[in-house]
Amino acid sequence: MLVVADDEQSTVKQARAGSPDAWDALFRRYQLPLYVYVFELVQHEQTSLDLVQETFINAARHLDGLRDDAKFGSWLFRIAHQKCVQHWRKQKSSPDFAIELDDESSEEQLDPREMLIRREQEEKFMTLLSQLPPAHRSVLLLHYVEDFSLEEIAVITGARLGTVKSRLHYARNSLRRILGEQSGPN
Amino acid sequence: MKTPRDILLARHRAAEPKLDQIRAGVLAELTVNARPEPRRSRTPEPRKFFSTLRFALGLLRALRLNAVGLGCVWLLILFFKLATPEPPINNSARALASGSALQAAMVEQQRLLAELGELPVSRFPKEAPKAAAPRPRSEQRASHASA
Repeated sequence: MLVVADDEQSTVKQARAGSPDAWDALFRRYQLPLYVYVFELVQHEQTSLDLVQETFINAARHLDGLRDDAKFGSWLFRIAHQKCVQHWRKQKSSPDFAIELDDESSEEQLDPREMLIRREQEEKFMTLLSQLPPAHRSVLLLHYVEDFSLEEIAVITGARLGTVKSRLHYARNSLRRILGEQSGPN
Repeated sequence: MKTPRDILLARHRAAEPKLDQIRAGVLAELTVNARPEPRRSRTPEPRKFFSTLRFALGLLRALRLNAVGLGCVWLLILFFKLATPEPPINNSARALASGSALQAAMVEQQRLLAELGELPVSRFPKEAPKAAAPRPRSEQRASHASA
């Protein structure tokens, strides 16, 4: 995990006691990674925001169900993952699912050539990511966005450790194919 | 080179204001829901008891026909049990039989033990000696004289 575990544990303890500040700190820390994870799975901005909100509400309601405070992050992502799965199940019956891609990434003041290379690289990465099957995408996102261990990813996605390993291997190979080609000549 | 994490987070950073709004909304809901909690916890037990009672009564009412049927079956079983009494057992005869059997078994055991210990079997009579009936002294004397 990226956050120092002890800090997070004490924050979770305070949240258990009902401290709004602790909840605020926890939500603030996870809101963007959660959103990224959900968005890359469902590919819809408003749905992703809704699912993040539902994840927060669920977490606040069911914090008693969390046994180990140190695993708050993986627990939160597990809730989000389950929300995505529920969404996919519902979505099967509703074909009107428009894909909205938010392309408003802020461009810093870069050399135009460098900016072009960066954008191209990002686009390739994002294209590749969206081309992966959801199960592989999910594993890759959890590994790269939150740096979860394979065991944690297995818990979050509800898959076996061997399955997670093979999915990650497959996803990494696909990524390497594009990103390696990009960074190789430089 | 940027890591995939950097790319992803940078790509979605535009959504942060909306996420902040969501966070604020959830926190507001949390604080609102947290307030009436103590008031609710004042009388949870009686409420729980009455709801359980109501549930049990409802269940009984719903299953009243089944309960009546089961009751009838039990009454019938009880009636047949009382109508056909078991034959009385003669306790004294049974006790006597068991007593004599026990005595015979003990005698047999003693005989076996004696055999094992190479003791004369004659020391252990097969049956208890019969007590001699008392006779008048005159008769006893006559029997001695004849001997």
